[in-house]
Amino acid sequence: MTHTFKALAIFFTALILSTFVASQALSLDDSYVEQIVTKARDLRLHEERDWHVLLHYTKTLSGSYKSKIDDTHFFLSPDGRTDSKTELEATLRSFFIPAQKDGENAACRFPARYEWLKNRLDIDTSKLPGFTCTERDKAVDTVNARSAVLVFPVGHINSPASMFGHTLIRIDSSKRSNLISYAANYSADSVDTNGFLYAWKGLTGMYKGYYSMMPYYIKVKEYNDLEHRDMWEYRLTLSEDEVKKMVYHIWELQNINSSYYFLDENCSYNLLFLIEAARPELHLTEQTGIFVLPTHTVRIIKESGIVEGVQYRPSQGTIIRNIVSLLDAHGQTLANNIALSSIKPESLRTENIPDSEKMKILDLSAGYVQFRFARKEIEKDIYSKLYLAILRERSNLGLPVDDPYKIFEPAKPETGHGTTMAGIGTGVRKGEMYTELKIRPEFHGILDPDDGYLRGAQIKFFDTALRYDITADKIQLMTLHVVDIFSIAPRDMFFKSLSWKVNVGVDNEPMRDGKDYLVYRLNTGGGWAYTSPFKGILYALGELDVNAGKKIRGGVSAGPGFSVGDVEQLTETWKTHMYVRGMWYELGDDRYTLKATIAQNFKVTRNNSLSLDYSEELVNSHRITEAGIVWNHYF
Amino acid sequence: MKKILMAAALTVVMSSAAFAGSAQTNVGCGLGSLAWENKADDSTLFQAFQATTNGTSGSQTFGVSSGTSNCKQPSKFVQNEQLNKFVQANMDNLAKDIAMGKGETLDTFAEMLGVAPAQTVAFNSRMQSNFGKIFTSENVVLAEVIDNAVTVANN
Repeated sequence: MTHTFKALAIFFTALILSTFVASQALSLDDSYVEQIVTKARDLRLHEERDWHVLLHYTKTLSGSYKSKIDDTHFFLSPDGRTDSKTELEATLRSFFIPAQKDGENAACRFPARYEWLKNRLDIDTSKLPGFTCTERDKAVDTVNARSAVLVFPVGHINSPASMFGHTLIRIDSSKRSNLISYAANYSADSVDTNGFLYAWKGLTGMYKGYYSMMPYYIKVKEYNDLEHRDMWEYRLTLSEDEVKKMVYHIWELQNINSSYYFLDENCSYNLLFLIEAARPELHLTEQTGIFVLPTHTVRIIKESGIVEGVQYRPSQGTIIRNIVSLLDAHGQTLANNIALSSIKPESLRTENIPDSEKMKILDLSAGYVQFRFARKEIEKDIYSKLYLAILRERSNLGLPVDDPYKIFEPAKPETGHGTTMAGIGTGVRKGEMYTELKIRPEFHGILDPDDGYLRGAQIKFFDTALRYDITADKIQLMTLHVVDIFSIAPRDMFFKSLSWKVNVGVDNEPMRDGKDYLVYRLNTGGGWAYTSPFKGILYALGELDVNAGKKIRGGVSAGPGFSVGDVEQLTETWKTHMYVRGMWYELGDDRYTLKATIAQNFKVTRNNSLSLDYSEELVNSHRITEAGIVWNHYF
Repeated sequence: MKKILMAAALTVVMSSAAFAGSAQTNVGCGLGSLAWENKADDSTLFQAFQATTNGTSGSQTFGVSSGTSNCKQPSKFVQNEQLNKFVQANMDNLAKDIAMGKGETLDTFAEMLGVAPAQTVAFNSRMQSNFGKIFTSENVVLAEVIDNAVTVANN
């Protein structure tokens, strides 16, 4: 009996002792987590810049920090969006949770956070549960990041959704070719093709925005080839380690959504977080204003000193137009006929023209056939046959002697005038002197210097003009155009672009009695434009105007009209726009207007220009003459 | 004729599970395959109001290590999904560059095949002279293009 009792006593003592020892060991491991968390608290890591950058925390109006990311999957704490301390501690603790499967540990999902916290806190990785992140490592290896390039596809002349351009980041590897680099991009998840719906949802944050990564050649095909948008590639001086940090952060952002707001939290704004993740000392997002335009972000990035060179990538459209300009009318016609299948490519063999011309003709027709197919003008079977026939013929001609396709590089996008304009001026209208104040929050007028902008593309928002009539001592609103878009694109044998306009707002203009009154206006028009003999743009549009105002006979009137004009760049700094506009307000009013205007603009500096306008207008039998001069300052 | 491509690049790796083709339909594997739908339709007067491609179709946000292409694999070149996808997406531009004897798509193709920089001019010239042997018909598919290009480069 005593033996059993003694054995039991020893057994139970041992059991209690080992449990005691074991529990001590357990709490030692627990206490390492607590040590780390306490260290983080003492260092106040949650207030550091690097942490804010990785979580996209920005200061709100009330002074607190809130993440721009809406998706709860991005945060490891339920309060993570607003509480950086809780999020940091939850992140730390998550690394210590043993993972059941490969890729499950939080460090696999959040490698940028993991690397930073590990280094900052000197975490002893041997005290972490082991983990592997095979999928992530494979992706990072595939990207093979060495350096980064900011890419800017310019605005699309005929699409309001893309008119301000776009930005994306290309991550170059050790390969020579850039087409197979990967590109990171933030955009709205949308399959809507209705432009109005897209605009509405984009403006009000109804779309979810996602970061995505794909081979660069996909983006080149999209912007350069399909949409004919030139691209500018700004090489960044970020180091290889910095670019690797960026790639880690992009990985953290995959499948994470944020509300996409076209005006501010858009593609360009969200791209800045990626650059900040590479180098947190750069404060880029906070330099953006109320509206964020891609060109602004290009300027911000350039001014931060990390751009070391820029490469111009002309679009298919630019390339095609360049070849057209190198051919005479006969050559252009041959190319056009080949591309339209009116004549066979082989028929060039009997043409009495040099090989160098034949090469250009075939290069042009090949490019143009691709364009026709992309626009769905021809079926795939016909396209493939025709395209191959052209290329087969071309391959027989060999290489040109020199490099015939040197494309003139336009002014870089960020070197253009600022997108906001304020103007001050004076003039005479109907014999009375006035002073004028103009304000235009965005973006570019047809008369403004074109450097860095698309020629012939006017996009104005909230264009406002106020006049002070000196003799009458009256301030008068002359213009307030909420939206004013005027796009003139020259047509030729190959490109049959349409020109169009739309403006909505308020104007102070002569009524039936010849006196000025305010009218609400909705105006639209469409027509054709051609390159003028002086390399400018000649246009003719049919217009439709709807007006509402007190002095209109029926209150509301509508009428057709026309405008014809010519925009010429006379010298490098002197531009002129001459136009005649006639309207017949027959419906709801008895008003007929005919106005001829000559407007000039002289570029003084990048952000200053001088405008001179002179117009003669006939409204019914009343004649109104106006002449004015305005100093425009852009910022 | 001097071989342009290194022998190592020509070793055909036995198909591993990773590359075992699923549906090899060969649709979209030739000329004229476009990677998008419903984009930049210029056919209406109101093209101005068409949403263009600043949006994304969102289904695949991380196209880095995603699956194999649905096209038949080339047999004369080491299994290389990156090369296959590149040729599939850029075949039209590749054809144009080969016909012209130069271009960025052709340079990329050469680099992916392992052509040394010193050999590029010779490679491009050989490709151009043998255009018809590479792009044999309008129905040519990517496997044939790659195989034919390899044959031409080393003959």
